[in-house]
Amino acid sequence: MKIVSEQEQKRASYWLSVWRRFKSNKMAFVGLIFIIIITVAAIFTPWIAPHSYDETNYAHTFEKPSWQFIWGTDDLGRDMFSRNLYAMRNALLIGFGSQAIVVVVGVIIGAIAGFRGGTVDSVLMRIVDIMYAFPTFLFNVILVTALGRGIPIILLAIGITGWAGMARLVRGMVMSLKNADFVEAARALGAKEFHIIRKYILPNMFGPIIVSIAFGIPNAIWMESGLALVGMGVRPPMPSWGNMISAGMGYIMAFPHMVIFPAILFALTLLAFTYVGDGLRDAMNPKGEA
Amino acid sequence: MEELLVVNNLKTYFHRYEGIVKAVDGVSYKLNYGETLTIVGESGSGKSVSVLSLLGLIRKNGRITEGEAIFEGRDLFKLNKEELRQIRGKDISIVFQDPMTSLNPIMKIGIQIMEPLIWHRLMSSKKAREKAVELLKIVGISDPHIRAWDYPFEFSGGMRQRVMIAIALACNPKLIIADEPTTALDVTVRAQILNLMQDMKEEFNLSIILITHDITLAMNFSDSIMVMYAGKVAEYAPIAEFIKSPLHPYSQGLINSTLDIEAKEGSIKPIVGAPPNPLNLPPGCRFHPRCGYAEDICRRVEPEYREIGNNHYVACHLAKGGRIR
Amino acid sequence: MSFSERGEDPIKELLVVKNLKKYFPARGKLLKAVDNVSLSIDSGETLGLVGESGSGKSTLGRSILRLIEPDDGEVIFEGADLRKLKEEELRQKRKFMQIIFQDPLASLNPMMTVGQNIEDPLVIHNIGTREKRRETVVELLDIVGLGKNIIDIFPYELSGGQQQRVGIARALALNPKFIVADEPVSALDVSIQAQIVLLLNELKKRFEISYLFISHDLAVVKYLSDRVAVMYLGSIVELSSKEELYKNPLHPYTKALLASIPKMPKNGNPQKRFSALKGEIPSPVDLPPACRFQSRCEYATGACKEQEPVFREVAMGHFVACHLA
Repeated sequence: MKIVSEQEQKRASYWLSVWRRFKSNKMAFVGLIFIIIITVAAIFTPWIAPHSYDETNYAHTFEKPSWQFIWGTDDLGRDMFSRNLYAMRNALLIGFGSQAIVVVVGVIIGAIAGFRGGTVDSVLMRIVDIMYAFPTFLFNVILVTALGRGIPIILLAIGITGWAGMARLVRGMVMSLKNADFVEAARALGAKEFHIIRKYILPNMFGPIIVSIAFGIPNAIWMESGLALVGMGVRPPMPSWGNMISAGMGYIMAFPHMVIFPAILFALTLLAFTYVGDGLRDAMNPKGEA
Repeated sequence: MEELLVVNNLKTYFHRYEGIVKAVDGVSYKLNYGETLTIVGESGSGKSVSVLSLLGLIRKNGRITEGEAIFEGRDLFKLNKEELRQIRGKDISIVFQDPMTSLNPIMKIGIQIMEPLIWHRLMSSKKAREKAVELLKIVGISDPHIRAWDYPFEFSGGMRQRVMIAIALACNPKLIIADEPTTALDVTVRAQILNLMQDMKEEFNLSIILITHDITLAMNFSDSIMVMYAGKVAEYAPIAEFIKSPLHPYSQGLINSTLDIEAKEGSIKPIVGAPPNPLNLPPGCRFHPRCGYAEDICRRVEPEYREIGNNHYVACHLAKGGRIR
Repeated sequence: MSFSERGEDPIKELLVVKNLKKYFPARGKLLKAVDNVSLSIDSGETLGLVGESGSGKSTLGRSILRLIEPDDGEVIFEGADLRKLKEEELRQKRKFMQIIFQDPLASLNPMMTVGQNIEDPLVIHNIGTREKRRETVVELLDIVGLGKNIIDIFPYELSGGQQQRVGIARALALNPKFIVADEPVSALDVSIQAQIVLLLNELKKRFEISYLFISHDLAVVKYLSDRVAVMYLGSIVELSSKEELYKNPLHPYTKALLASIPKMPKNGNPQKRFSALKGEIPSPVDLPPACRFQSRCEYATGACKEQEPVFREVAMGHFVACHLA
């Protein structure tokens, strides 16, 4: 191993060293590359999908993979490859979208509870406890039944039912940061509360929040597939991995390609996010050794 | 045979993301039966690692790349895990710095003292209980037969450190390693613990390796002293010799920069600069950037660690015949 | 800027603390962390505050600055009682009273660069333009002995000594008249401690800053202080000029503290044993109505066990709380 030169030592910021540690974690790095690839694919899906996701083709039902239909067709002759691309796009939409809601709601509630303390904190935390106690899945089913099965509704529902953990995390961090020496230093300098929250507390919370998001995304995708299993997922013909696998289950012995491709993609995506989340958490452990 | 422990050219390197840290880079010393050796150094000197390496207690990313440690005729680095385990806690035991975190919080004190006795199969459970109470008495805990069955949180810092010493003494070790045993304690308690260690040493004819950053303590407590800097030994001498003439500029610097309570106003001379980054050590003598006497050779060539006379060793180009310049 | 540069007259009694109390509820009982403490500091004067754990010295320092809200008493800074100020007035006053912490890394915002950390006080109080602030930062770094090449790096890349200098630079940014230094060198290497102590001394003379220098180490305090106060379990037990305290300590606790410090064996006679105070610091919760120190005091009489001694002046400028002084 090389002995690091003076220049390389100097300019390393905290995030740079986190990145270096993350990079050296092979699985996490591969996972990140995978995520970047599928995200780009998801953005450009309407242009790169060879067929549309709902174009039925009764002459070509149940076909095995061929040049025309790379991953074969399903029971209605629709191109599996294109459908999988759209499913991936939807999965990422739901994943990122729901977590955006989780972050906004969770951070606001957690920060207020943590910073104010006292009665405000008790009240807010009791609400969090109630959210925690609720069977999330059931709650999602209810919301989707009541409000409809569109993708926006689904990601909203998952977001609304899932912010409790983030709120607890943020509240804990705010409370411990409140007592940190450097925050006390800011108070001693005469900083106003807003300045302290903006420059001293929030920036120091990014790490664990990002890790939480990295784990929250696969959770959200998983949740949607659970909904699909009970017929409450994304409404067909719009594909999601959940509804494709559910629908394909009936044909698994005769036409396994209908289930295998979505299942593998699904699994790889979840794995990728999980490795990235793990890798991030390890990389942010300050002064962690090789 | 007088020598209990002989360490030759010990090198322990750590592999980190940013490069290799040569924490201990060629350290040699001898320890006799019944002798107290104090290893003095600041952060990054390698003082703790040089001793913890002996018992294989270094972090996973560290490796002993070279050297031997002959303890009672056997090389500790050539022992397998089981053989080393049998020495730990029995022939060589350790007292750590922070009594708060070194004791198991959910286990009664008495049990923690009994553990090494039982693990090393020295006596039955019943006898071990009696011995545990006896040890607590020896280290100065009042009402030991009652207190032995309390939990660590019911003891104060100084008392917990006494318990650590009791655990270290349990199997009649030949050598006790004390890694900054008083640093985390209150000033008025430190003296008590140091006196206790001295008493135990005399009563049980122990050898002690004391690791500290406090040179004043080192100069009082030891039979011999070893000053470390950036992974290497700067100076080693029997204590009387060292008090009379500390030769290495770093040793002198430490003495002169210590805020001694009897020092005259204005006599404090800090050492300029700071201990070097272990990933980026200066060429030549590692201390030269901070040394008031540094000459050209110091900047280019690493000084040899050699005996000046009277069992007094120095690693310095300029320490010839017992005088700097 | 010094007083003469500011065009002001130096103030006798810059800070007067009267009967300050801070109590913490502890499982139904009361922990009297700061119990009726009074003291005063003139401008340009350093008052050393010495105590071990549980003495309340840190709590006192923070209570004076209202970083912890005192429960009772007055804190009169430049003639105004800080406790009576409203939030905005207090914020403005904060420019003149600052704090330096024990753990230099923890006292700096890890997500801000060194330059941003030092600049923040100016940003908070809306002082100067971006360019002007940058100039001030460079100036401050120079005053504390650091180069401007570290402005854009992050605190964790610096050494402990450098980090503490940055903390000092930040504290100086607003031209304070009073600084609470809470164990500012305890966490630093020995060779660096002297550097920082000398730096603080130089700043004191150059800018006529008053310090409340808190430490557990009587030797460190001796160098910087004009007067010294010794605290035990929440109250001051002795207060006098530096010379008097070290030459002629009156309170048994002060005497014990001084005696238990190892001294540099200059005449070749190392101490193998140290003067030790018996017992340990009792819990500060629910203290009985007696002298706080009597359980460990070798001179304790009947009166000591029944009545708390009054803190009174027994010689010119020399205060003690002891029945036997």
